[in-house]
Amino acid sequence: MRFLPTLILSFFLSLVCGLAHAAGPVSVNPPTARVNGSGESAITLNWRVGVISRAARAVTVTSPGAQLSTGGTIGGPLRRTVRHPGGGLIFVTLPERLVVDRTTAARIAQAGNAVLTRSFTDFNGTSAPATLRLQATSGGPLAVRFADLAFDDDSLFRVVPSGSQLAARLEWTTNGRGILDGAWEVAGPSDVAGDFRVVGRVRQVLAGARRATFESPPLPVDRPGIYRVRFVPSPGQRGSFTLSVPDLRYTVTAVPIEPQTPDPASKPMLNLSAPQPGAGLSAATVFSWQPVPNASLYRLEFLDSGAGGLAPKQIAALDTSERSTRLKDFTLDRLRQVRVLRWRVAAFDSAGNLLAVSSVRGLNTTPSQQPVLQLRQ
Amino acid sequence: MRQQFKQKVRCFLCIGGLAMATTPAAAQDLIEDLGTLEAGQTLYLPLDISSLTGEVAIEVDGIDMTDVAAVENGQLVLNIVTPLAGEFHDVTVYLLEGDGFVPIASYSFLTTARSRLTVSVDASHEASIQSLNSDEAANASSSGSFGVENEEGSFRGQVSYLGSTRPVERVTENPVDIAEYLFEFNRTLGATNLTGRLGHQMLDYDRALVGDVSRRGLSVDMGLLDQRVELGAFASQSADALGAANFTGLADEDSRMQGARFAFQPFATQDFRVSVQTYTGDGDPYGGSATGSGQGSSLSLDGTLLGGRLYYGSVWSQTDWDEDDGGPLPETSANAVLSHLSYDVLNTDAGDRALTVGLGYEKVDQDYFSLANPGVAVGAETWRLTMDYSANRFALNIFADTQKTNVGGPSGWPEDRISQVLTDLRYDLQGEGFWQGTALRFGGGYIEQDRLTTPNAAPPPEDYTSTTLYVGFDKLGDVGNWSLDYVRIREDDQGVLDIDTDSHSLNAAFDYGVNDRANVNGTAGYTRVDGDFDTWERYEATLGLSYALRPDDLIFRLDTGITRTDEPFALDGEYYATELAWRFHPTAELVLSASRADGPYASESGGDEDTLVGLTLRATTNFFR
Repeated sequence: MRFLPTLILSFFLSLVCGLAHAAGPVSVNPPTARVNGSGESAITLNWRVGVISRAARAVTVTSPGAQLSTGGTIGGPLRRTVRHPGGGLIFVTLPERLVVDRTTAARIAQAGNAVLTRSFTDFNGTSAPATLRLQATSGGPLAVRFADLAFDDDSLFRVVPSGSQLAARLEWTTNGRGILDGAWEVAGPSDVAGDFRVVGRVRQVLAGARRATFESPPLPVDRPGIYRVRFVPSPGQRGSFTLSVPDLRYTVTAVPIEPQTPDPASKPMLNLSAPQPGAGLSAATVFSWQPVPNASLYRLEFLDSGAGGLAPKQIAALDTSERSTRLKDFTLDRLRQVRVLRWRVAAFDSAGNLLAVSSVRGLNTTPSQQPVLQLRQ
Repeated sequence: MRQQFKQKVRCFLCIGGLAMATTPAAAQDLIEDLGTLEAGQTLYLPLDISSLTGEVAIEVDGIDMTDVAAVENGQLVLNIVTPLAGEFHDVTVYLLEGDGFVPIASYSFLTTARSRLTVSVDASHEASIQSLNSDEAANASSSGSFGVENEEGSFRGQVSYLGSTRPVERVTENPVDIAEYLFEFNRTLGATNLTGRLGHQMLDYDRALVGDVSRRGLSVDMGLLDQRVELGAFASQSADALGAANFTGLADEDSRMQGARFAFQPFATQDFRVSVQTYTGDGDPYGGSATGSGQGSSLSLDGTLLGGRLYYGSVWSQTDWDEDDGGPLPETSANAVLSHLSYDVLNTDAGDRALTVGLGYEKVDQDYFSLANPGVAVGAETWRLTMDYSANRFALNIFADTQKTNVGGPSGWPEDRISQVLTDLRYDLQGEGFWQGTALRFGGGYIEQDRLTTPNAAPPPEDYTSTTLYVGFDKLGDVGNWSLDYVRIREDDQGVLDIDTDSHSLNAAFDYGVNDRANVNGTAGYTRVDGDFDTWERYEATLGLSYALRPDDLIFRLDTGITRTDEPFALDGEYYATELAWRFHPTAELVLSASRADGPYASESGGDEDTLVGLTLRATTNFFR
């Protein structure tokens, strides 16, 4: 009882000063979310927190983290400051992109469903906990089971001379369905252009259990220095997926200031026509590509994986003046000894000068990649 | 008189009746040294072709050069303009006998003097002073790779490194660290080929259990009896890794896996192959919240029939996996079956035309998981049909599959059927004038999801359809290239939420060499998304210009870009960047740069705006010996 006068005094003081405010009702939209039990997924949530204040002032609403009924904490702290106009109750919306990793998804799947609980405080009071029901399913929004970002020879770091062809590959294994919407971004060379810039976009529908590979546009290799490349989801996409793959780094060497030749980064890239990635290899397989102006000779080259930064080793090749060809049996015999095989085509003029190079395309004797429409955005 | 070799030999075939002067076996035992070939010289092969009947092929260092060979004065000649690796070269001449080519003569020649050990260094070094939003900093970095290869090619290795004072550039937390490395050893002992690898390498034993991942570790592969028997074993880290820590990839027992493979071709005259794979390991390739433990084994069959036109392959695999290794999650056991057939409908005499049809069947349980192949798509039974057709100017690919979800999953989960058809078409116009070097791309896709069963308390149906259409042009020219693409994606949600979207994207790009000194390039893009809950647009454009103020050593560059969008959570922004690069030495340059960026482009500081002025001294080390 000895604290009662202090409490009464505090109450009246706050009324006088117009500072009284306390966390009010809380809700979340949607109240139920689906989590694919096969992989990592992200859910876009909007928490709606009621804040009461008699006077106009800045109010900061925070939540330390969310508790999961299957155990553990997921989701990071939330915080938002708004200007309360005073005079009663207003609602503050705190958006959250909740990432459910694969292990947590497996725990929810084992339990069938789980309840996520989050409480909010505005310093003068803590709200009643709001709950979100997480329901495990085989469908639902796009869930990423596996994501791997590497260069086109599967390495994680590359050192390439200026003027080379270089591309990165994003490999996705997904369940559920949604739109993969994101951008390839490159920063560099670091000391003159440290900011990331978009070099290509991907907007693609994915559905079901898929293993899909997306190749970046040709990466810039015109200026020496250190570059970083990444794939980032579009900030506004509602496909509800997340991606946790680290940036790649590559170094361009040499100092070519040869303006009489076109910018190597945008030099004509030789376009491959057939076969498609993942196609089988036989004597009937026709390799074809789009012609390059002034080219008198094309080299069809077959390479091993070249992982570890080691330059891919040429297993076999074929020189031809045509723009399509088949392989003879002695070449096929060489290729059948290799399990991981890639191919590319280079165009030369009559003096042996390199005019254009294609990207490196996988050739599997056992087709394992499901093709995905490679849409240019 | 010089004419195409293929025509000449066919002429011999027309005359017929001429016997070969040497038998293939006798001829290939003799390797004649043709001496040193200087750059620009023509290689003459001292083979009496007047005695040959049939089609002949020529291979140099494993490169089929038949198409560029010719006959001059009754002698085979090769005018090699494309690059050859190394200094020592082999030439093999083949003669077509029956269905296959047999070697009839072998030669060797040198292009330059030989070296016992080839060492190469390719590196870039920088020192700079920079002002970012008035915060000044001095930075230095060096990155590159070292390579080594011996004369016989039995050993080769590569180590790459990166050191930088800027934390965002580093490959690990360390200021200087190695990135990737690989050392490879090859030995031939009698009929046995032995390959050993240490470092980052591809693991690719089969499609289901050990495949399609690059990991740091140790592996050994051995081929016996003309490759009819293959043995392989590996031990590696369970996840990707960079840096010198855990150099071998085997030091961390919580992230380590090992496996083996045995493959056997039981018939000497057929390529039918049986292989068995196994693995065991601990780790988490996803960065999940727990370390798992598991093992598995698989059996694969593959080969060809009908003269190589029918390809078949099938793998059955079984895995055990404990997601949290002793935690509350139970250990799971699951199976996967991946099978396919492909048939080349048109034989090799169809000229440029090729038609391949394929049939695939896959059934992978929901709980299937292999640390050594974490990318396998799970929880579905899939039937697949493919068709690939290509002709001189035309390529068409059709892909269709239908899959049932929640295969091997909990009984309380719903089952859906997801079917899709994708087509890709490419047509090279190959016309004259404007149409020279122009190609048309066109295609589309249709996806449909239908609910099969909905158990009690399961989510309601999420049926939907999706349609994608695209069309694009590419044009490659002597001084310029351009492309234009349009994509439309339409989603019709027939579930409870009923969230439909319709999006259009139009993109253009060009690159033009104005003259010997100037080059200009640019892109422009427009995207519009109409959704039931939000509608947004995005406009993007970039422009780049380079101009040589002084040929060969002084170049000016300007880059700019802009984004305008009302996409949720996205920012408007623009950037302008200029630089002046002066190459004062063949291996060194000085770069003065200035840039300004805001919105999404201001990633350097993480703030709203970046203003950067810098001076960079850059040098390159290129060494090859």
